[in-house]
Amino acid sequence: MTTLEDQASAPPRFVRADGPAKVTGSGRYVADLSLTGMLFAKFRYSGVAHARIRKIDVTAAKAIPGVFAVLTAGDVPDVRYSPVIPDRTLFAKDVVRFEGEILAAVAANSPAVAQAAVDAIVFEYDELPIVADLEAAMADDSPLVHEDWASYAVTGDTPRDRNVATFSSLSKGDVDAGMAEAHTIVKSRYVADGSHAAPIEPRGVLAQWEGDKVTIWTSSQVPFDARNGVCETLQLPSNRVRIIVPHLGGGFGGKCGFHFEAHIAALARATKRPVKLVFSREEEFLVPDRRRESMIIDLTTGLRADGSIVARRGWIAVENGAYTADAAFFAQLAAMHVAGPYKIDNVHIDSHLVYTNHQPSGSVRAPTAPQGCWACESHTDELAAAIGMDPVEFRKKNGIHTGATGVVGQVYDEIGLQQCIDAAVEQIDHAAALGEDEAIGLAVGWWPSFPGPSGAYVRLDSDGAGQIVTGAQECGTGAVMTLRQLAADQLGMDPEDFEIIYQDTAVAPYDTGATGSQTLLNNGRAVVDAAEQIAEQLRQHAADHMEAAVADIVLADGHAHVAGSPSKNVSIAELAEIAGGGELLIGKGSGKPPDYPEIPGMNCVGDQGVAAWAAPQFSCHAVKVRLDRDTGVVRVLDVACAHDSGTIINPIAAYGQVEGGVLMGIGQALTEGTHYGEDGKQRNGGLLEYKLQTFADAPRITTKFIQIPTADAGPRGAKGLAEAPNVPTAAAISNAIAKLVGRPVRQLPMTAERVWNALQEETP
Amino acid sequence: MQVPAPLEYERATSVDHAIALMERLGDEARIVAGGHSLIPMMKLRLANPEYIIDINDLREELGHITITDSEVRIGALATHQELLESKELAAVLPIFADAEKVIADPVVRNRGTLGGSLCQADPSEDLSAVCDALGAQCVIRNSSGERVIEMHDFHQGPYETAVADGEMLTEVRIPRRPNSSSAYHKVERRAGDWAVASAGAAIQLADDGTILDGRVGLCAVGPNLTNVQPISDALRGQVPSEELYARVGEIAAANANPATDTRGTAAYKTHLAKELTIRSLRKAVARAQGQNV
Repeated sequence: MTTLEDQASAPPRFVRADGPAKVTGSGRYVADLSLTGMLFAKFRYSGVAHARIRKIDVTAAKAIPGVFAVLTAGDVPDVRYSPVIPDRTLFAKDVVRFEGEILAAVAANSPAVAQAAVDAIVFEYDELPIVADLEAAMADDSPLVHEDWASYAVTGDTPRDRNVATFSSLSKGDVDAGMAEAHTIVKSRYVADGSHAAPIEPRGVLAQWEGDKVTIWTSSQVPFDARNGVCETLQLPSNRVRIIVPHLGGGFGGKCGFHFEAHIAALARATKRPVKLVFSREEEFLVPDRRRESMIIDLTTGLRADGSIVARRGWIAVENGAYTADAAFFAQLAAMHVAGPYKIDNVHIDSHLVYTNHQPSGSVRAPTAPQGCWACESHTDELAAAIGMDPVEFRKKNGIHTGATGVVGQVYDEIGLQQCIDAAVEQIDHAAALGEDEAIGLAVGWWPSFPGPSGAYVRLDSDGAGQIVTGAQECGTGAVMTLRQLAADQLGMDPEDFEIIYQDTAVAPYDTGATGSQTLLNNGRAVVDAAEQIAEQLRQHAADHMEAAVADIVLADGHAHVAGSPSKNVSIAELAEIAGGGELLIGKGSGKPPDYPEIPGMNCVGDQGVAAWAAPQFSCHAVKVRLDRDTGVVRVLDVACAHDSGTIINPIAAYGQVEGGVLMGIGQALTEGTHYGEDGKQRNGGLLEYKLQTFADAPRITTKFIQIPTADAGPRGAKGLAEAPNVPTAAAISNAIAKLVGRPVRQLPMTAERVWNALQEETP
Repeated sequence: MQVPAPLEYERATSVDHAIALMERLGDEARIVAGGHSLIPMMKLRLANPEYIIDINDLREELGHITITDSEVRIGALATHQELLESKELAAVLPIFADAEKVIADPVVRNRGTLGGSLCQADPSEDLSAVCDALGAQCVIRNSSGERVIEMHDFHQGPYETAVADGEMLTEVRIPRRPNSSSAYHKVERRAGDWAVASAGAAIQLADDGTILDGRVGLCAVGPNLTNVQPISDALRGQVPSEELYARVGEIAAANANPATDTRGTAAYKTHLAKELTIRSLRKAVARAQGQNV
C-alpha cells in the first residue's frame, strides 16, 4: 500500500508514452524480434572459477549439422577492453578467471542445435588456486587473478599492487591528532555480500550486417557505450555500428556497459546471417560483468564530549571480481559513502578495489552506496548510543547543511539534508504507536549528480505534431518520458503533442544513457535547449503573422498570443503550417554541462573523479520494523522517505523511483545476497534461491520531496533521483533491528538467521 | 536451456482413461495437473517424460472437498486456492488454511493441486507436512482397483512415493476426531517462499483436558518427511503446558536432520524445528480448547 502524500498539491499530469505498449504486450523487446534467415547464438562458458587453458577444441561442434560458426579468441581482434583498466577480452585467452567467462560462441539454425554444439566443445584445463576472500586476496602470498596485469594499458592514477586493482584514499586534516582529542572512540567492522541487479528481462542481442555496416538490437541501458565497445573490440568506426534498443525490461545498472554485442556481431559477420542471443535466467545471474560488489568496511570514529565528530578513520575492501568492467571508481565512491554526509575535520579512509575469481562487479543502482551507507549509518547509531545521544539529534548536529564543509572539503550550497531528516521523522511519527518488538530506525544518505555531454533534436512538423529525437535511454524510470513534458512546457504545448524517437545511435546525438541518474539532468537540458530554438522560430512567425513585437509573443495553451492580449492569438499548428512551407521548425540542443565543484584541502591518492560532487542529492529514510525474536524474522512495516533531489518535474515518476528504490533496498537489507561455494561458483544463481522481494512483502511507503531548486544542476534546478532512493533503506532497517537486538547485525543481507545469531550473542 | 524436451501429450477423459494410458505408456509417462512442479523440472531437463497425461478435465471425479461426520475427503485435483478458501475445511482442519496462506502466490495457488504437491514428494513441500501431521491416508488407484495407505508409507524418500507405474493418487482421507484441532507455522525468506523450516501439529484432547493424541509433521528439515513418533509418545496423556511444548520442541530438534544450504545452516533449521513445533502445538491446543486463534 502506498500513499502519495504530495499528490493533492501536485496533481498528476503524466502519462507514460511507453506504458500502454508495455502493459498490453504490444511493446517489442529484443527477444521478440526475428529477421529472415536468423541464426541462434549460445556461449560456451568456462564453468570453472580459475584455470589455465590447455585446449579448447571446437572441431566436433563445428561438424554438427546446422552449426554455422563457432568462434573463439583467435577469430576476433586481439583487444583488451574496459575503461581505466583494460583487463578483459571478448573470449578467454590463456586463463579463465570466473565461472561465467566466455570460451566460445556458437551460431546455429536453432537454439537446441546451438546448445548441442556448445556441449560438444572440448575444454581441457589445469585448475589454478581460487582467490575468493578479499583480505586473503590482499596478502603478499595470495595467488594473482591477473598475473600479467603489469602489461595492461592502464590509464590514470591507479597504483596497482598485486590483486588490488585500484587504491584510493580520502584524506583531510590530521586523524591521529583528532583521535587524541577524542572523548569517545567507537570501532566497527561491517561485511556486505554481493548481490544482483536482477532485471525482469534477461538480456538479448540481435545483429545483422548489410555490407560493411552492422545494426545491433540489444537490451542495453547505454546504447552509445555499447556501440563504443563494439567499435573498440571489432575495430570499426562508430558510423558503421548502429545500436537500437527496443523496449527495455529493466536494468537497474546491470545492463550498463558493453556486454555481448560484439560477440553476436562477430557471429553475424562470420555466418553472413542475422544472429540472435537470448539469455536464460541462469546466464543473467552468472555471466554479466555488472553485479553489486561485496565489501568489507572498518570504521573508527572519535567524538568530542559534546557529541561532535572529531576524526574518522576507515579501511575498505571492495570486491572487483575477475575483471574491472566499469568499477575503477568504486573504491573512491565507497569511501565517500563510508565517510558520509557529515562535518568531519579529520578524515582518512583507505579504499581498495580487489580482484577475485568471482563474477565482475559493475554499476548496479548506486554502486557501493547501499553497503557504504549501511556501514556508515549503523556506525552512526553506535556512536550516538556510545554517548547516550538520540540518533536523530546526533545526525542533525553532525550532518552537513547549507554552507557546511563536508568530508572532502567541499562546501555545499543550498542543500536539504537537515530538512530530509525532519521530514522523515515527522512522517514515521504518524505510524509511531509501536507494538511489542517493533522499533523505528533511520538513516541518511547522499549521492552525486553526474553532469555530462548529451544531445537531442526537437522538431515540429507542418501539422503541428512534435517529435523529440534523443540519445537518451529509457530503462524504466520514466526519465525519457518526462522529456515530453519539458519540450511541451517550453513551447506552450501538451506533452501528448510529442512523440519520442529514442534508443537509436544512428539517428540521435550522443547521450551517456540510463546511468548515473543523469537523463533528466543532462538530456533534459538538451531538450529544453532544442525546444527553445523552435520557440524562437515560432515567436518570430507569430510576430510576423500578428504584426506584433517578437518580445511580446507568449507561447501558451497551444497558441501564440500577444502579452496582455490573450485574445490576439494564432495557433501553434497554424504557425507550423506556415513554417512547413519555408524554413522548417528544427531545434538541436546540447548545452554546456554544469561544472563540477572545487574541493580545496583534500589529499586524495588514486583520484577517480568521484569525490567532488555536483548537485549532490540527499535523503533520509525512517523505517518501522517488527522482529520475531525466536526466529530472527524481520518484517518491514513502514518506510518514510524524504528526498532532496532538487525540483521535482514529474511527481508520479519521482514517487515511483522512490518506491522502487525502497523495495530494492529492503531486498538488499534482508534477503538478497550471493552465496559462493568452495569452488568459487555461485550457489544461488537464479530466482529460485536468490530472493527478491515481492509485492506481498512490501511495506507502506510514504515520500516527501524537499524541493530546493539547485544551481548548477538540471532543468529548473532538478537533480538526479533514480539511484538515491536505493541508498539509505538497508541502513535504516539495520538501525531499527539494532534497537531490538541490542547490537547491529554486522553482515548484509541481515537475513533472519543472521539476526537470530546476533540475538544469541552475549552482551559484553 | 529452459525448454522441455520433445514429448507427446494427451488429455484424459476419466480416471480410468488416465490409468489405462499410464499402464500402456509405462514409466515414460507422467501425469500433469497444475504443472507447477513438473513443468519447471521439464524445463530444467530434470524430468524428461516422453508422454504427458493431462488430468485437468477430471475435476468432477477428483476436485472434491467432502466433509462427513467421520472424515474429510479431498480429491487429488483440489487446488491450493480451494483448500485456502473452504470455510468448512477451515472449521474442522484449520491447519490447511494456515499452510495455504504461506504457499506461493495466487497464480500458483489457482493451479497447483493437493495431489500434485504430495506426489512431488519434495521434502520442503508444505502440504506433505500438513497431511503427515493429520495422519492422513492416501487413496491410490490402478486398473485392478484402489488401495489405501498411510501418509508415512506414501512418502518413500525425496521425490519418491508409493505410487507405482500405472497408478495415480486420487484422494486424501483424514479421519475426524472429537476435541481436536491443528495448526501450521513456517519460516520463509520472503512471502510465499519455500520453507526454511516449518512444523504442523494436530492435537486431540481427552475430556479431562489432557492430550489424547498428538502428531507433529516437520518440513524441510531432512531428506524425508519427518513425522516424529517420539513426539507423539511424549504428548500422549500429558497436560498441555509451555513446559511440555518446550520438551517436545527439543525432541523435534533432536529428530531433525537438516542440511546446510542457501536457505540456512543446519543449526538454524534445527532451532526452527524446535521453535515452530512449540508454536504449532501451542496454537493447535488452544484451538482444540475452543479458543479462536
